[in-house]
Amino acid sequence: MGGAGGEQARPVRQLWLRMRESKYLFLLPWLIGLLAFTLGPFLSSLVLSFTDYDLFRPPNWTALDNYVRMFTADRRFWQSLAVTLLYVGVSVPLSTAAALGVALMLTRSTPATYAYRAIYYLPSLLGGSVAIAILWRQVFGRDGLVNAALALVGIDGPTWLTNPDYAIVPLIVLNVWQFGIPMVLFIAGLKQVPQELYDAATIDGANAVQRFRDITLPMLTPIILLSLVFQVINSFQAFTQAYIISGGTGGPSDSTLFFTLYIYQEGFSRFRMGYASALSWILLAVTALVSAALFYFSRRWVYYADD
Amino acid sequence: MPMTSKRRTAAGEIAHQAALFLGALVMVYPLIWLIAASLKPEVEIFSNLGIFAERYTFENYVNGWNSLEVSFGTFILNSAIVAVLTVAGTVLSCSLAAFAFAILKPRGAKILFAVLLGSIMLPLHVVIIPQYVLFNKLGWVGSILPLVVPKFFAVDALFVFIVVQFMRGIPAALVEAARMDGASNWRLYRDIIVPLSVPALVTIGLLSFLFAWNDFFSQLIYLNDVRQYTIPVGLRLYLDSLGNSDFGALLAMSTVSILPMMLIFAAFQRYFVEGIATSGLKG
Repeated sequence: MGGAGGEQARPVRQLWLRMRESKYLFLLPWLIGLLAFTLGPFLSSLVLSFTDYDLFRPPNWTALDNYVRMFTADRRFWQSLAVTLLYVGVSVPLSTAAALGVALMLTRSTPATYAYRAIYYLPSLLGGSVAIAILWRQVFGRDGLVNAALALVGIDGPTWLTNPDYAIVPLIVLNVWQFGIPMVLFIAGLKQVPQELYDAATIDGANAVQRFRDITLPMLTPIILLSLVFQVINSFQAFTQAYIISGGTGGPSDSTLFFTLYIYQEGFSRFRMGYASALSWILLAVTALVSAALFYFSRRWVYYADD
Repeated sequence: MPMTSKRRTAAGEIAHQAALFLGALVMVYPLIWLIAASLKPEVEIFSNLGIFAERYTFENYVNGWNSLEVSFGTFILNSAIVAVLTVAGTVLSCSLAAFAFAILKPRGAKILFAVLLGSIMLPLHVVIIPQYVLFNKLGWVGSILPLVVPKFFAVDALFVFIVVQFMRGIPAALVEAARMDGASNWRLYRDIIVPLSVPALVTIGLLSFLFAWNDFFSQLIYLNDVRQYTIPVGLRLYLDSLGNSDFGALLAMSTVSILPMMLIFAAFQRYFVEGIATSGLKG
């Protein structure tokens, strides 16, 4: 206590030693990141959504104006919501089905199986890149690979990228093409199904279809739910592909105007940061609502072994 | 295994193999076509949708590399800088946080871990606008700082979670033995836990590298000088300025940009095809 000048170094040093050993010190970088880059911005965007902030002038409080305008007077808001829901609603079930189908064929432990897993997985690594979006413009071009393949069976393919009725299709196909991640999850899940269940069912005379329906599928349902939720959350955030394929417009006629693309246009092209914040909260609400619905209705079809 | 029943018939086996092969072909054909097309003379790209050409040439690569005011090498270098800093920051900060959550478990860790789990689900777009405002105030917009600095603060909660799950599997006896020897928290972290967690750290290192390499949205809003451009925004510039006029160059540079990812995948395949699955499922 209040020792001579020479001893002042000791408490400082002890404090440093105690701090250095503090368990919370290891959490500190994450905690700073959480407050500065996640939680802080999360709450600020809620506040900004009630303002007319434009990045250059101080924001004015406009209460619910942004939300009222969005719901009553913004055709592009409804359009982007509809496009995104269509995209998520079609591509997530399709990619889940594809992942499940291929996973069932790849459960063996042979070198060929491992090679196939890698091949089917590869698109999910590359699919989010600008390079693949550029490739997709060609694949679905007027004289691209898809129309060439359709021509082989006598179908005259449409101009996918310029026809508003078809423009969403290349984006859905691109998402389904990346079913490798759920596939890998399903393969891991299939490995955990106890072999005894199959042996017992076979002894009882169950055929392959019955074994799939009564054993494999129920045992896999928790993983299917998990994968659905993750895919839904990811697909709602899709941006790059629509931006590159439509040249940033979401066209033709807003037919590929993903919700995130609309947020980008409002926030970063027109600098309506307040309005874009309101949009982003709608995105959060819709994502949360769909995820909650998945969990709620999962009680009807997800099987938990310990029930 | 459900599909290895002895009752599988020869016809069933053939159908199984044929389906797998055709499916795989459809999956990779666009990629093979991309590489083949990038090596074809410009006139053949659209007239010939097969893989084989009368002659192959590197002229698309030569044309593409220098067709803008800055060479494509600049974009590659910028992307590499962003990706390497991202990996370093992610592995360091996520391993520190995971060590605290999984091993040290200070008071309040449970509540904080629930917050961490919640933040995994949070869409980027809900925080991007205030983040942009913050970085704009700091004068960081127009530099790579907004892309890499947050990575040193474990902002990718999913990666913390993956490492926590892995560290929870480390036998408690090892930790206790180190404690008996008088190891401090730092020595425990550095000498025991990190060396044992290498597989999980490699997994998050690879994933964060690929995410940074592919990331378009953040790089689009934060980088605004062509000399700072990374590959994704650089490619978009190619698309805008070349369009359909020099499709060969565009495809060649697209191929260049995905080549590192394919090489990494080939080298570390196990971590992707097996690693993610197990780390995501445990617990």
